[in-house]
Amino acid sequence: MPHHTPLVSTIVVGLVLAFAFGAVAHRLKASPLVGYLLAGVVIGPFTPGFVADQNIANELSEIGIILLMFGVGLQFSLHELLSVRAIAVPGALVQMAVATSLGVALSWLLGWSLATGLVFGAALSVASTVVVLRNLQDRRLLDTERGHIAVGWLIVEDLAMVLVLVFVPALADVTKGASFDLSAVALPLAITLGKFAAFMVLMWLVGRRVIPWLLHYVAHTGSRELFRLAVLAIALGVAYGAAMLFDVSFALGAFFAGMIMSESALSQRAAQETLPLRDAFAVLFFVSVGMLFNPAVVLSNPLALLATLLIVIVAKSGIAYVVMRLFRYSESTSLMIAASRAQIGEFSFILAALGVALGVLPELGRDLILAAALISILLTPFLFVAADWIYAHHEPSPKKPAAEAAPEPPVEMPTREPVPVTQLTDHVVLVGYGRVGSVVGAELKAANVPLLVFESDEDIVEPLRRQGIETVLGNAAAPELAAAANYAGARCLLVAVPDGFEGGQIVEQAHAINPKLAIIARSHSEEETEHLKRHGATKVIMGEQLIAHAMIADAREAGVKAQESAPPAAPASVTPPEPAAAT
Amino acid sequence: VTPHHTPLISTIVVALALAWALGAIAHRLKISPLVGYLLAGIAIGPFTPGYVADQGLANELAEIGVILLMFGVGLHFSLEDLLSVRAIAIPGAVVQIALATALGIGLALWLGWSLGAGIVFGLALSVASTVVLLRAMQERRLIETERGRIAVGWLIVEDLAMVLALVLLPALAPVLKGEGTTFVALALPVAITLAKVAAFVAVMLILGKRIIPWILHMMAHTGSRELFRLSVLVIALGAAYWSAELFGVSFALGAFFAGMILSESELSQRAAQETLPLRDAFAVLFFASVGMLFDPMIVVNAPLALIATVFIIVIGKSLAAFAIVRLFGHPSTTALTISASLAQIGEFSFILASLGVGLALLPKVGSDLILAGAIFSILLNPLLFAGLDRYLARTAAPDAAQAGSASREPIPKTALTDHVVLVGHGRVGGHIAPALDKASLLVIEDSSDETEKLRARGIEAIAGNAADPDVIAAANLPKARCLVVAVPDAFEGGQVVEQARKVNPSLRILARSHSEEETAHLLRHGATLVVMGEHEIAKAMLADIAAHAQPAVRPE
Repeated sequence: MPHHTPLVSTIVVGLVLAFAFGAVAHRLKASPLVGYLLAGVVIGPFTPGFVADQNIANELSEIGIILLMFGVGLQFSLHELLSVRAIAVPGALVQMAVATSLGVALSWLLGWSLATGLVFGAALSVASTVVVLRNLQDRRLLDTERGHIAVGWLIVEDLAMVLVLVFVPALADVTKGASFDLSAVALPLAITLGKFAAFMVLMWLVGRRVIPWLLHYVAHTGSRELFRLAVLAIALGVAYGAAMLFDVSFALGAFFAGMIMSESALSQRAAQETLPLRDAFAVLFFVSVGMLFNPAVVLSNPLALLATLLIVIVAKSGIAYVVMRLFRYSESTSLMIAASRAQIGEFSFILAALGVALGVLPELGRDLILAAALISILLTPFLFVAADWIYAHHEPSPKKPAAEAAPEPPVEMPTREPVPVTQLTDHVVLVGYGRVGSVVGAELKAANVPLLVFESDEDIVEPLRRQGIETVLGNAAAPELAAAANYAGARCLLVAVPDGFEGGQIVEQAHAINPKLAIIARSHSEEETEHLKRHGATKVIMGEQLIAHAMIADAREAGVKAQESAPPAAPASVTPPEPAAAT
Repeated sequence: VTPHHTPLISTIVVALALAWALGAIAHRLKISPLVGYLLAGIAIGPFTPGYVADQGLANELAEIGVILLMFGVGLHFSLEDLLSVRAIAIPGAVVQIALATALGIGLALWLGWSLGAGIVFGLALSVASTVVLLRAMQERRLIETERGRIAVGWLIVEDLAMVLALVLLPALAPVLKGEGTTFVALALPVAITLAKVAAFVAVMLILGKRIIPWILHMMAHTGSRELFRLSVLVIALGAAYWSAELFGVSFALGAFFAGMILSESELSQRAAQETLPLRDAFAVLFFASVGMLFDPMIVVNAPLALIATVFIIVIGKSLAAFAIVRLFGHPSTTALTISASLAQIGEFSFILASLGVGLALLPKVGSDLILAGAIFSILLNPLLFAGLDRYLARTAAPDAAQAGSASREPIPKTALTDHVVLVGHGRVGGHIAPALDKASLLVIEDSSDETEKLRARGIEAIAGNAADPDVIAAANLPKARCLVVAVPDAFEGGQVVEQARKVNPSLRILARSHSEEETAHLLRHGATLVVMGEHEIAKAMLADIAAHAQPAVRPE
């Protein structure tokens, strides 16, 4: 094309490379995040080849932050937020204080001033919202108590950073020789706090009425497009308005917008509508972080970088662990929170950029922060694995009510560790313990049929195991897991997941292992039925057809005349047995 | 935390928020939301007071919108459909382009421009907007009808012609400007350009056809939903970007081919779903960015030229299309629908105009006229369709009038009493209807194609949304025996149930849901009984296991 297109090329090249590296990382059983970061390094200014536009990449990543925090808010209620304040507030404050003092100490060793040290330390003290959320999501921890603590902790840090950013210009004056004037800080600080309070009050009084009303109104127009647009406009609009008018961060504004929307009956649908956008922009966030990394700092200042990394990874997680244990949280929860604190992210970049612009922070300080950020984000997924490993190998006490406390050899890392093949034979394999699977599973359990369940949601797996149902955590389409199911000795396979395509893969794998296995699957359309049968399903149940039968049966009972030669309606009662196993 | 300047975020946020507000108002006034999006663009454009968005960024966001839209078109496009209408679409599009271009040249010469400017101007007026046409067709559910297929086929021929024009214009610019040039100096760039397009098509059909489905299939097999979603997006954007970079063809064509290749894969349906929210968001940004280009002063400065431009787009092109379609022996309903759908210009015209200005072929006024013409013709387009509906309602038989535009004309109340009202004739409703007595059944269904088929089978049907009070009134619910709400969306279903319960407190209302919450929602709004699909499936599965209860039983 004859015209210059920096935005299009940044998005396209960023996504394409992220996808390629992400797929390779997935193949190598690493987190795709690692691939996304490396893609950013490749298109960054410090490596040869294509260089993307840094400013545009930053803004794209901020959109990613907004959408991610909005999504978190949607899954969060105020009640849950308040329920974790007892640990989140002291935990975050202690951790930030200790990390900042370590940063000051390091900067003193490097010969920097106290003001520089404070900025440097503060930048190291705050974890990355996006990284923590992505890792929690990947591990489906967001809806657990541990997840709530982690998110509450993030929000306290977020609020603290908003205040820190007010202090930095005053610190800059100090370095220029002016004496530290508390009154010069007090006023902007008061204004910032006042603005934040005003934002909260506004959201509470006006937002809580207006946002659900808007959403409800748009839903009533019946236009799906306008509804989708409304969700997006609210998420982005509140975040942007919060930042522009009240100096609150984008992330906090979006979080509150989501939290208010979560009280509406439409929140589930709203979340679904923004998911593809959220994923795309979250990828761009990691790419833009990668772009900031200057590999030269690794060679020129290896010791300083190592010390920075020690503060970020070892010291911060150590403090978090100690604080958690002091508050009498379980080993597994403490380890998880500790693992989630061990990196720095977007706030650190903002702080570093501001510090350099005001002359408080030397360029080297920023480079150290950026390098530490990239490396610590790279390591975060591995730290979560390590936390699991430490727990599994050193504290196998079964009395702890944590998901990691599997009594048998641990299977909580299904894609990374070998999964033991089940001892069951002549058993029923049930894939998916959701709305369909839970009803089936409860009935089979009651009938004492040997049962093996595959489920990818940890919060469902845990209570199942406690009931004594053998359960494998993970996606049954993965070959290692398929091997663990002992399809050769199974009586039958029930595929109860709603997605016909995912079901097709599971069916295909099982059929390849045991062509004689009876496989019952479900579908939503004739095409899906075809697809499933082609891949080896013995019988496919189409939900829509059953609903039709149930409706016809009821209409006939009510005295509606039937057409001659009509197919007989299948008997279907409408109040099914309550799933006894569901919690 | 905003010590930093954020032009991209503010452009996206302000454009989306304003587009939504104005789009909702437009919807309320029963106009297409597109009009609201365009007005939002005008409001944040440089020619109106108040906030001004970044024009360069808005243009690029619009291009991403065009890529995703064309990818979606490709996903739904089938070569067979194009070939089945080629007899009318190819000559129709070619003749219409020639006529519109001739009219454009005439206007340009009258305005005192050069012949080259006239050709660019005329070409820009001759090509309809894919986005506008598809949106109009989707809104009216015409895509799957024969009329719709002809219109889409016609449009694809026009698009292909414009792609050729876009690639050939730079090569031909010296001649069009009247600068003398040798035949070789002219023929060489043209040949190179054509070779590039040929190479692009060959690469896409030979390599792309193998690689693209393979990538998608592999990603689907990783079981990672995120990677699958990313791969769809990457295929759409990557194909568009590199076909533009390497072969010089437009983003739109590259994305279209990528979509077309994907459409043959069984994963295409899922791929389309994954990109839908992104596509919608960026399509809105596309319309807003077009609105931003509009300088309202053109209305004051050159009113006559503007009227002539709009006249060519709306009247000139329509008459040409109408005449051609009638000549080919199609009924006048078809001819009028196609005329109305093509009576606007859009994204290709903007690209052509900016290229023309860039090559110093087209004066700035020309590009302003094209933009103003586009906005007015897009604004007028829904009115044209409304006029068409009214015209059809008046001339055609009363039965057909009912089918023509159910949501805008009064719907005749059904004569049935003691009947069953079935809302939705899709995957569930389609199974219910055959089992019930047709003489006492009334079906309410969104798709007018479905309702036509039902009527052909002797079942009374109303085309429209059952949440619409007019439709509810026409269903004679006070005298009905039973209402069956078979639509999958429980929220939409809840609205229908609520309305029906208000009309008839003792009516038997059956509805369906996907979860306990939805069941509660429907019961709260007045449903007598709610069937939850997941429970029915679970019961059926349990019944089937009973059949396999003995290990020896292995059904084949």
